[in-house]
Amino acid sequence: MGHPAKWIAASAYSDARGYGLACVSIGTAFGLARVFLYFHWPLPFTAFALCAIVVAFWYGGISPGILAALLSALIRSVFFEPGVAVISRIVYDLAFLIVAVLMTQVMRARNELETRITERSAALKEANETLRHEVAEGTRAEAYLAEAQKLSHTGSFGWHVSSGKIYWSEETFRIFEFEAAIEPTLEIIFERIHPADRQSVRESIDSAARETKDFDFEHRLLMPDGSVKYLRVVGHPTENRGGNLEFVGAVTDNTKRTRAEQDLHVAMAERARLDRVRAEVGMALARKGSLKEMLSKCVEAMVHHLDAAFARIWTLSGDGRQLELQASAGVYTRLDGRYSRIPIGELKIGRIAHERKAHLTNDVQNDPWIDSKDWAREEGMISFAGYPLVIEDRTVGVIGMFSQNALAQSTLDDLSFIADGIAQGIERKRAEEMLRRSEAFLAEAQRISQICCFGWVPSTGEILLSTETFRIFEFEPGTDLTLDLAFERVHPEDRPFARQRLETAAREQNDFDYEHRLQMPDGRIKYVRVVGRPCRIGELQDPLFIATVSDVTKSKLTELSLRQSERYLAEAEALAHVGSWAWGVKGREAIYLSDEWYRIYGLDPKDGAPNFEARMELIHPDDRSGVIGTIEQAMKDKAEYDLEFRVLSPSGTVKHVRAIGHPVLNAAGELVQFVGSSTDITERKHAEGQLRYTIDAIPALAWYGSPEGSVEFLNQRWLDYTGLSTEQAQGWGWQVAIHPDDVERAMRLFKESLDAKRPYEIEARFRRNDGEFRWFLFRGSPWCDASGRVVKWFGANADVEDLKRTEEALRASEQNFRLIVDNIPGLVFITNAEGKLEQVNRRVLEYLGKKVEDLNGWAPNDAIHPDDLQKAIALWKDTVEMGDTHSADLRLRGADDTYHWFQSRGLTLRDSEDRILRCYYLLTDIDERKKTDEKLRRSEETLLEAQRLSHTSSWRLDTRTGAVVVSPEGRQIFGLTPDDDESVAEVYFSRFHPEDRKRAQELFERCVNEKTTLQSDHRIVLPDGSIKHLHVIGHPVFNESGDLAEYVGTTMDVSERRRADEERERLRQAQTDLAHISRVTTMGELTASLAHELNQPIAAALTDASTCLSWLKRDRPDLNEACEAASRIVKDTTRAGEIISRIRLMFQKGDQERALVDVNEVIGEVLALLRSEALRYSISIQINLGKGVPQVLGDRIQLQQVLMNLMVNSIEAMKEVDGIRELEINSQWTNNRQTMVSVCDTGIGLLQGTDNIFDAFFTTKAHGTGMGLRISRSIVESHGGRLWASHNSPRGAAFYLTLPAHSPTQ
Amino acid sequence: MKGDSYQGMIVNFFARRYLANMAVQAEERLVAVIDDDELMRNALRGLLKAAGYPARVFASAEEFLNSSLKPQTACLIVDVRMPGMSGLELQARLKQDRYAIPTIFITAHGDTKMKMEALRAGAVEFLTKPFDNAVLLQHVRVALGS
Repeated sequence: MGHPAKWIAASAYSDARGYGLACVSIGTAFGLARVFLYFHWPLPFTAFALCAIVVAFWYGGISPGILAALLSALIRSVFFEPGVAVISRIVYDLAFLIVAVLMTQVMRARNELETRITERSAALKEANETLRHEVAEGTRAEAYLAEAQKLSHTGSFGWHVSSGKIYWSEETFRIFEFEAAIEPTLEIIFERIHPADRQSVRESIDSAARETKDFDFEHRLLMPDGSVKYLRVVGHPTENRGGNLEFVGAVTDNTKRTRAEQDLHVAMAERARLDRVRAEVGMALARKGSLKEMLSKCVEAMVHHLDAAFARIWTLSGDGRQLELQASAGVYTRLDGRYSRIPIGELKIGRIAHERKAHLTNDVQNDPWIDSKDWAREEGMISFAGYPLVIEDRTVGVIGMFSQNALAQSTLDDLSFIADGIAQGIERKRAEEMLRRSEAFLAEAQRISQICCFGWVPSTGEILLSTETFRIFEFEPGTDLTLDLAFERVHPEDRPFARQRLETAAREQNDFDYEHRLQMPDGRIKYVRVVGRPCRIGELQDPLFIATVSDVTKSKLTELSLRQSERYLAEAEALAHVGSWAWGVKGREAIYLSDEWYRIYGLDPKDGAPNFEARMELIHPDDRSGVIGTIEQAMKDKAEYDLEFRVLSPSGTVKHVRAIGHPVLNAAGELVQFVGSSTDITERKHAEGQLRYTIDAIPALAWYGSPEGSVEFLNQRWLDYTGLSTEQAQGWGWQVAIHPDDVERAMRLFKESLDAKRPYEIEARFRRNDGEFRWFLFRGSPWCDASGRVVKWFGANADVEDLKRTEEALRASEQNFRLIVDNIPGLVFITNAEGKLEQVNRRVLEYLGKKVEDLNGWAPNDAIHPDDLQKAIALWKDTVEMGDTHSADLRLRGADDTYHWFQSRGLTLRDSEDRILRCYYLLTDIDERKKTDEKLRRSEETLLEAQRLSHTSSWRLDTRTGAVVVSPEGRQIFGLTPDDDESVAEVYFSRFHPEDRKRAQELFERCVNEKTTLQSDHRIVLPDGSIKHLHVIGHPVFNESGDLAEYVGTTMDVSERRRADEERERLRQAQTDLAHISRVTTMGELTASLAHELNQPIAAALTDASTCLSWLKRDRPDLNEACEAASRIVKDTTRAGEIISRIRLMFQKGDQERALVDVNEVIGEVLALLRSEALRYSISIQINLGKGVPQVLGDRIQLQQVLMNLMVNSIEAMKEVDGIRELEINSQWTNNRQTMVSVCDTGIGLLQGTDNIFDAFFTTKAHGTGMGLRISRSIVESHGGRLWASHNSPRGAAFYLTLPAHSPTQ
Repeated sequence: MKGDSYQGMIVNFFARRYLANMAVQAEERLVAVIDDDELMRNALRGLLKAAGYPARVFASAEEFLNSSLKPQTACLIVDVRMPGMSGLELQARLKQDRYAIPTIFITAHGDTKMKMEALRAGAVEFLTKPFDNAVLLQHVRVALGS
């Protein structure tokens, strides 16, 4: 749209240029035509002009074109061929006109086209402008979107499901941290997805793709640098233009939000944890129980919630100098380790307590407070937190914990929260503990002192009681005890008094102190002392009595019993004439003198205690100085004294007194006083005098002495006999009268008796006054008081010289006796009437292997066989009671510990009054006889047992009397009843079976008569009708003169054997039948081969017959050849016959016929039948028959059967086998005189093992009966041989059979 | 010199006889009978002799193969089943060795399958024992004539 003027100018210029162009082009055409004309070329003007017109039209427009056409017509007509005919001119002009018209049309079309193009171009331009604008808008929107995505961390994507193509926005690339250059695929994306989320993501998108539904899930990305991003992916299915499924969606990076959430969770968890710790610690503090239990719960809570490896609490010890470990939880729970006690100020815990400052470190290794760094490294402890437990500015303990993870600073805050509570808990527990302890102390003190206390408010009647009250009053603890209830326990007699005392005290507000009795429900009496005083406590208006009740039963009872015993003592003293006393050393004044003392000294207690001098005055003047001297000495030595002296009582009587004093020393060891007793021994002194007189009167040498053995008194006879004076003999002087050779022994024995306080008897030689020594028996015995203390020794010596002489004579006589006894060929025991062993002979000692000393106290019971003990006792009894000679057989154990049989005889020696003095026992060795008897008995028993077992009876016929003696089994066999007389032969004959009786009886009688041996088998019929088979053997026995003495024999019940034989026969028959069936079956299987075998000779015979005929039919019959052919026929048929007879043999059924059989022949016969069968299956047969294989005794057909069976089995086994098929048969003569045949094949082998193939019904064949090998083995075994199988090498099976070779002696 | 000529004459005489014999032998056309059963062998020999055919008998295929008479054997009567090499195997072996000897099989175990196998391999006839002698001789004649 330019300026109009400009537009006009442009149009004029365009017109001018068009017309000019028309002129120029026509001019050019004219010029070219003139040039052509000049060179006499054919006149081309028209062509040029036409071109010029076209050019003018095309470039100049319609008007210039028309101009050009006009000009052309003009020029032509003017300058070229002016003289041409009109028609030609018209033609040319027409041509120009047509061209002009055509070009005009063309130009018009062109102009129209150009106009249209111009219009379209303008429209296009406009559209282009619009588009550019839109694109700019889109780009800007895209930039906005990208920016928005960037800001919101949301990327978009498109996923073409079928092609798997994925489109990502820039932000998506950024989120996934991929270069924008790569092409995203599911594989790449899944590599980025956190492995734990892959499965779920895959399932989500698979299910969305499958069901064409939206998906919206969150997952994590695992970046190459290990960082994790949290994404939310939202997708929506759409269909694109191609109709394919496409998902578009957005991926939002939620990492920051998720992290913030997680942090929030952590913080909340931290908060919850703290709450839990505080709650648990609070519960622990509130719970009952010991301090340790409480603190244990606290540390457990810390370990559980504060991420501690272990936590501990120490408390301050009582002296405040150290910390004591009270609780530990976590990996360490011991309380007795190295850190159980930590001094204040030492180590980290001590320092925390000292400085009262919390300590937390997450670098244990470099923390100066931590001492055991090696331990921490090994255990992986990296952090520690400690907090002091402080209450009211006092440290009561420390909390400490180690952790294997870093601890937040907040841990200290946590600790501070719980530390206060724990500190207060500790304090509270301590206070409780103290209270409990003091209560316990009080209760224990009350219990020990048996004192209870109570408070009583008289105005209200209210009472407060200690637990001991219940115990003293014996009420159940917890009883609602009132004053009235307590008074019920008071003894009825004391009740009014007690109540009155209490009421008075309450009324007058006085102290009270009284004792009374309690009567318990079971009647026991207790004494109690009640002490109380009124007092006012606090703001209480009414007075309160605090009182104690003490159980004084014990002291009360002691007091009562003391008084009682004092009374008893006084009475005892009076009865025993013993007075007790005590006197002080200082001033020697009497401290205590009992009533009896006064009585002994003839004084009156009412006159007061006499002083020392007065007391001495009372002593007989002859004894006084001695008494005073002894007392002085005792005072000096601070020792006891024991005095006897006479007292002159004021009444003038003389009394003998024995005083014993005992020194009493004070703590410093100084003698303070003497206490003791004075005994009136006047009566004893009189008795002693009488005793001496008595002893003097004894007609023997008698004496008595002190408890120590020192002789005090010897009677006159003693002194007269020895010629010694009393002084010489007193004490130990009497020893001089003992023979010097005997004195040492006698004194030793005497001393031993003294020590043992036992009577003694000693024999020793004693010197008479004339110097002669005679044998004396010294006897002495102690006299003891009630307590067993020796008071005196009394003794007497008797002259035993004559007795001694008699003894020696007796000993000599006894020696002789002994010699005789020792030589008796038996064991001799001599006992006294009580059965005590007195003597035995040498043989006894030898037999028993004992010494004489061993027999002292030994009882023969030890050696008697336990089974014979009763017998021995009975023998002893009989001997003692009846007195006659009695005997018994019994076993006695010898030194070699074996028992021998002895015949024991006993007899007695009696005195005139028929009292037994001694018993004599003679034991004669009857061991040999006994053993022989035993052997005989056993053999007889064995025989009877054997007869019983073998059902055999032995019998004996006395030929003279006809009496029969039959062994017990005979009764059994013949079924004799008790009524039957077994000694009568007729009884037995009557049992004979009617059919056998005549024959058997006649045979028996004939043998007996003819004195020949009898052998008979016959039957008997028992009363119950049963039949037995008997085998009877008998033979005559002749006496020394050759006459028939008796006929003895045995009868054997062979019914069982007979039945067994029949059974065996039946079995054998069954086996034979079975073998026959098996044989027939085998032959049946071989029918085809046998037919072939038979076919062969028949075919040959036919051919030969034909040949024979042809020779005979000739014109000149050749008889020789015919004969030859005929003889061949004979051979053929013979062979056929042989085969048939073999077959028939195998089919034959019959009893076994044992004959000598050549095994090689049998093998040949079997092979003849099996040749065709082998050939049929291309089996080659190798035969190695040993030379000189001996014959065996057996049944030919059965052996053939065995071999045929083995070979048929082998052929069967090789039928289907590829490769070599070879049947090898060997026979040989083995070292142990056996004929061995082996049948080996290369078949399938023994797949089922080598043993069970012989079991009945075991088969591997499709149609086998499983009996073949079983039958074969039983046949071989019935021939005394063996059949077994083994594996063949390299393949197949091998069967071996051995048969015992027949020896001519068999 | 005279002696030399006599010697030469004698040598020439025997040499000629030998050669003539050889020629006769070479010319003679034999019937070979192979059967492991002696009775059958002898019977066939007698039959062939009576019919005027020269016959040789062998107890096994191996024996025949090892003999020098193969070239002049014009007819072979062979049992099918024998220990060692069977009649059919012999037939195959001869075919392999390019001996085209007309063969008549005789067997006591004849079955159709076996018969077809033999005939397919070029057997003249397959006879089951006992067979018709005339038939056998007819085949022998044909075989010798060919």
